[in-house]
Amino acid sequence: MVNIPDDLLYTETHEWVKVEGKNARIGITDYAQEALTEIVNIDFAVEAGSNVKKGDGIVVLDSVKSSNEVYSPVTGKIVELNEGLKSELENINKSPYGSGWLAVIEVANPDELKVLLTAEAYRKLIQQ
Amino acid sequence: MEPKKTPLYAWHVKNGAKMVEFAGYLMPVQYKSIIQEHRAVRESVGLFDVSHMGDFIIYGRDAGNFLNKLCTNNFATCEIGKCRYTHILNEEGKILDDMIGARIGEFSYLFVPNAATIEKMYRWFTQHRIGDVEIINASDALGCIALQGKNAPKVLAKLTNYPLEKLSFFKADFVSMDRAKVHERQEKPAFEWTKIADLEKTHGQKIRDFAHGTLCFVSRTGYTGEDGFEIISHAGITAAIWEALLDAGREFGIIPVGLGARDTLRLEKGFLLSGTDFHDDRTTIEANAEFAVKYDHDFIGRKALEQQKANGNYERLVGILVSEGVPRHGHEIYAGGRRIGIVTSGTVSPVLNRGIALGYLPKDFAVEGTEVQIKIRDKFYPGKVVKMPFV
Repeated sequence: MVNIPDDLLYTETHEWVKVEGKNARIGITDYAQEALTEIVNIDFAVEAGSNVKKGDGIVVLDSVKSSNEVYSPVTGKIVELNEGLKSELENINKSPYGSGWLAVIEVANPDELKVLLTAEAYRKLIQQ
Repeated sequence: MEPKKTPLYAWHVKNGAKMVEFAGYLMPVQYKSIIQEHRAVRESVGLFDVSHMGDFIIYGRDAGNFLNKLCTNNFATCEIGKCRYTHILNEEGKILDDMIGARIGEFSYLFVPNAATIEKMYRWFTQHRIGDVEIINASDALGCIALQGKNAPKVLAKLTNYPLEKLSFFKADFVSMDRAKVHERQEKPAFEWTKIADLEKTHGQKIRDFAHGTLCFVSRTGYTGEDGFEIISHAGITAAIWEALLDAGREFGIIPVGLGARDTLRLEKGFLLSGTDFHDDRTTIEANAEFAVKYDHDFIGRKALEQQKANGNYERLVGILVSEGVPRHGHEIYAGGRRIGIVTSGTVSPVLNRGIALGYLPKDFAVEGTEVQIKIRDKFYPGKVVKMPFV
């Protein structure tokens, strides 16, 4: 069973967003990690302090089979990247909503959060 | 076009395989974990459904001479019960496909083209037919299972009393799985055998039994660089053999292996993938596969190979090891700020835990130790030309 926590927001490109005050913590969903298969390499396309726009590629996750871009769900400034994943890649597959988080972004425009998918809407999306 | 299903499709789906379309077939890309499947084959034994691969039965009094016209390797001199790896070239010496062929009788051969090239190669073979030669495309009626890894002989020995020690590397024979209940005579043969039986004195009966599923055709070959077998059978009994092998292999930790690990296993050994590492655009010489060429016969493309060799100035296939980043098909290879080639295959080696790539480089760069950069997205990652196999 794919795990889709109710208290998170989602994108159509399979990122999750957790609102933490002014910030958004992001990662890839359980559905995404399963579809990608085991992650064997992570490549951050941005640095802490960089400004990103909604839809920018910020991380590339490589599985044995393919390279896959992770897109920023919001516009804002990168507060923190989970650089520790480089030595603990398995966390992305094992704990996509926990220790497998990818970045924390300071949200520039809170209205962008309103157009993200709810857990229910995301569930419907992946059932199709 | 609707993708085709192998005789093991239902088993894959029932057992939770992630299915993808590959070369027109619905195939398992992985069951639980590509890396775990890869390791099982390197460390013990794994089982692959390779029923998507093609099967041509080529027979007739002129079959040997006919094959020698098309193949870089020599099949007229190939003994019965032996396999040879060959390239099939066009007039320009470019590789149309690579395949293993086995001689199964005095006038009969079994050739295994790649899944994506079955139609193309069937056309090529039939177009070039000479004398007394018939070609049957039995691809849909035959299943193929690859049992790979150092414990493969122990697993297969539990299914058959056949003396497997006699089936050394690149030998092949008709084998009865007489220690397992897998042979149920199939009413409809996998291919029309009556004319073959008329032609073959000693092997006619075995070819008939193979066509009806009461014998398998087993070769000591594979695509992993490990010891192992490829077992071709009437599609009606392929699933029974698969289940019997999984049962027999349990004590060795056997697991089914998908196309994901099949690709990483072959890439670690530097084995070419048809359609990816060559696609009617590279010669056998460029692909460093001259071991598959016997210049003792006149085959299509031979002149082009000889000219290229004499000229000497051609690109060569190399293996590149990178310390960071994951090279992929299509990435550009640079040296000294100049683009010198393109990655044809790339992945992370599960054994080395580093990126590995195949690509063709100009002569002066195709030398062990050459420092190169691979452009992965917008960054350049250092790599080095290394000796293959990688593992």
